[in-house]
Amino acid sequence: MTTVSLDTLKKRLRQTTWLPLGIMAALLLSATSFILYQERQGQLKNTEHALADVVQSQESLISQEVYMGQDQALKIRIDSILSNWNQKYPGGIACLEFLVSPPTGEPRLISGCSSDTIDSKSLRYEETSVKAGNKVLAKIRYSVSRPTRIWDIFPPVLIIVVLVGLFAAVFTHFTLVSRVETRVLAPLIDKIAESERNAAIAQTAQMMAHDIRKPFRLVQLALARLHEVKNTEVRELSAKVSEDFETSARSIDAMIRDILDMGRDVNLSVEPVSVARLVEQLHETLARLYPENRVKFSFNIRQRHRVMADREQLMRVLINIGENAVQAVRLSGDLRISSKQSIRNGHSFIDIAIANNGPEITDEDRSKLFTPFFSRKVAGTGLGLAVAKKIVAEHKGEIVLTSTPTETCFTVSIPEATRDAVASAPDTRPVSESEKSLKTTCEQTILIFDDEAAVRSHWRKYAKEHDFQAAWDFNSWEDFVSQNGFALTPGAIAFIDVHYQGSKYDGIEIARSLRDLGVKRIYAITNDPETANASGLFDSVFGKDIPTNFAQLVG
Amino acid sequence: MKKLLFLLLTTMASCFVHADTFRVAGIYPSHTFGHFNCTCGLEGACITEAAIKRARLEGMNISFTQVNKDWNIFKTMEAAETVVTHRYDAAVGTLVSDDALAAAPILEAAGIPFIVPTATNPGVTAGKRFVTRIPFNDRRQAFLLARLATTELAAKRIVIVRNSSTKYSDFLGTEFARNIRKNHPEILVKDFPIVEGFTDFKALATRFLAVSPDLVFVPLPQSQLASLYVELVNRKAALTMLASDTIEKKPMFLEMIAPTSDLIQFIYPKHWDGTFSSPESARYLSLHRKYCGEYEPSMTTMAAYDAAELVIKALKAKPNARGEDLIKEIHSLKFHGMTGLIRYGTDGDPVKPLELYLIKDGDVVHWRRYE
Repeated sequence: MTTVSLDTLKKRLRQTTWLPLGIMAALLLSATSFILYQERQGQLKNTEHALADVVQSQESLISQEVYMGQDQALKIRIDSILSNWNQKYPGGIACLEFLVSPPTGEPRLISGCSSDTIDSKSLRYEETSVKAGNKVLAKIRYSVSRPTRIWDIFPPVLIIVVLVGLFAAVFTHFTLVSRVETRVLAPLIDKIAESERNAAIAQTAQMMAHDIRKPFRLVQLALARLHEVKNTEVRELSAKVSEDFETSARSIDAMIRDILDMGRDVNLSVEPVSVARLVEQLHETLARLYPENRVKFSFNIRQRHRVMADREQLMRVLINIGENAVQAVRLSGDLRISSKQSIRNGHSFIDIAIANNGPEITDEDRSKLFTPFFSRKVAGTGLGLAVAKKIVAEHKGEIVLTSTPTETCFTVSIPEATRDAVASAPDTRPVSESEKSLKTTCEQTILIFDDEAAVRSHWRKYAKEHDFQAAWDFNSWEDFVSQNGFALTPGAIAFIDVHYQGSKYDGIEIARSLRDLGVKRIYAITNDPETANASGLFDSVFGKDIPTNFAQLVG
Repeated sequence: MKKLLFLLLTTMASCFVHADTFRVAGIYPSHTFGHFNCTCGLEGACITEAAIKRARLEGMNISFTQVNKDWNIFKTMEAAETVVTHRYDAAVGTLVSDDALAAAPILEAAGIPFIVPTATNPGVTAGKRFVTRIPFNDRRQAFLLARLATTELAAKRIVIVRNSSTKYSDFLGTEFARNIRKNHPEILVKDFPIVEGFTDFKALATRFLAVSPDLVFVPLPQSQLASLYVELVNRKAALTMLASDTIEKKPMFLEMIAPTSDLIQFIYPKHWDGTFSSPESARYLSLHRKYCGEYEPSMTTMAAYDAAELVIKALKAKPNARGEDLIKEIHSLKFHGMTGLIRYGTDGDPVKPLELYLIKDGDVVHWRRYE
């Protein structure tokens, strides 16, 4: 995306508004010139007629002078006619030619022009004749023209009018530009600034979250170790502590995840997803999260509705909205979940509506609800709905909020899965079924390279919990070599920390070597997705967290 | 058969009568709009008809028919064609040189004598055996006026305003300038030609007054002359205006402005001295009163009278004179007409003095005879 400064924006605005102004001015000038040109042509015709009338009125005298051979008189008459004509039509040029044929003497041409500068041969002449009875005494040719001068086309009055018009247009132009700048651009720039500020905050928060998570993970690992202690008293105490701790940790982890997701691109793995299953899972999750709730759920879901979505991400959105709804009704109201098909811009969407009868959200809150870090809850980060909006936007969908005193409704619109997509989907079974299946069938070799023991341990624990039979973690390449990891590599799947520093080889080099050894799939676990993607070695890139679709990847 | 015999006899009788009667055609226009604006054409025709009536009463077999109506050279030519077609024995008439110049070649070619009462351009008679005139010609008029201007009037800076549309004014102005340049090359002569219908005398006066002339020669028709005079009076110009023989009766400008300017010495020539002292005057006046009483006696009627009388006198002297014989007979006469003694010179035109008039105290007075 190109960054455009306010000054550049103003400059472009002015340039853009000059164009129609210029066109208007050009059109005005052209039209006026055309009209004046036509007017001038009309005047020219009139002056031509005027000259012809004068000649005609003197026809009797001219004929006598021709007959009597008074050439000088004819010449004086021509000059006199032209002079009188020129007084009446100043600036015009007229030429007169008398081709006289008197009874005695040779035919001769007597002519004159009102201007010495004109080339009389280049003119277009009208012709008449002077007769005595049937005999033609003289042919008279006359021509009228008028040199085109700037003042003919643009007389001073017109120029003043055009200048006044242009001045008014320019004045209007600048007023308009000023208004656009103050009323449109300035708020826009404020928004951009706010956005940039939010991004900066998000980035800082992300760094903080990352730093927080490391020791937090270590504590988690420590707790895991406590479970392995044989002493019964200690084990009971640790079970109690670890339950409280895990509840808190899950909450903190969710918050950290929101912070992290807010600041990075969401990697979607879209597939046809059953809305009914999503809602079912949402219901289960809410029941689990709020076991004491007395919320009356009602559903109106079409079984056939499928959306093209990343199941985990969309679930996250729905849980976020669902949790807000349950909290809004204070655990005892009504919550209605429905789905329907809608068409927008020629595309088919599934609208998943989650409505509750909680208090109305004020207009002020409504405008800020999706803004990062906005929250009316004491314990909230204010990122939940912002992340939800971001995830939905990544799906090319939208979230719409309506709120009245009797109902508040969030509608999540996600593109509907086409029939072809549904038909070609590899697995549309419910996630829980899939996981159960995986527990019994997966015997993949999973290689985990990370210099942090806690991370490796966390992954190992996860794999073990999910019955992945062969999971290996390595502190370094040297560790891999010493444990004869080469025997494990055919068909294995590797997760590698791109920037790991526990060895003289970094993650990129290890990935390259594993590729050579025939590792089936290699995924990057890193906070630097750009470097990972740029290497072209990885099938996909993840954060340090275990990917939500881990089971599917190794399956 | 009887009818045929009657028609034949009637035709023969008619021819016989025609053969005896000397038929005179009058080529006098019925108006001069835009030029003199006078009734002089009608007056000329009237006095001619009257003179011929008197001759008939005196026993002469002579008749008069007016064949012209409108006034321009083409109508005059049509009238001349009519004279030729109907085989008139002689034609009298036209008022100005250009009309006479248009008609003269037609009548000359037909061998019909053409007596011109007022046209002065030399071209009217030059090289023609059947055309003659009553007044002096313009070569003489230009010579005498040029001499007057340079001697008696002592002009040093002369401006000529001529109407180049007419042969009369064009020739007179040019000839006047030629005479002065030839005899007095030290005198400044500036030519300002205008045309028939010219009206911007204000601009013209501005232009020629810039030369500071002490005399302006204006051989112009009365309408243009009047306009120029008025312009000069308004500008309080001090100079001599020397006109030509175009002024009939009292000058038109005297009726247009009052009073006239004493700063302008206005002089012009006529063919008549303004008196009725000649033996012919009594005959003219009685005839004019009897037949043309609605008009005042004028230069045109006197010249037209002289033209008719010359024809009558020639026929009285030689009743069978026709064609060139009639012209020769006229030229041989020595007639004291209303326009003075008509005596033809070697060039075939009358040798007559200029009767000079001037405006004094707002009125026209005969100044002197000049020859």
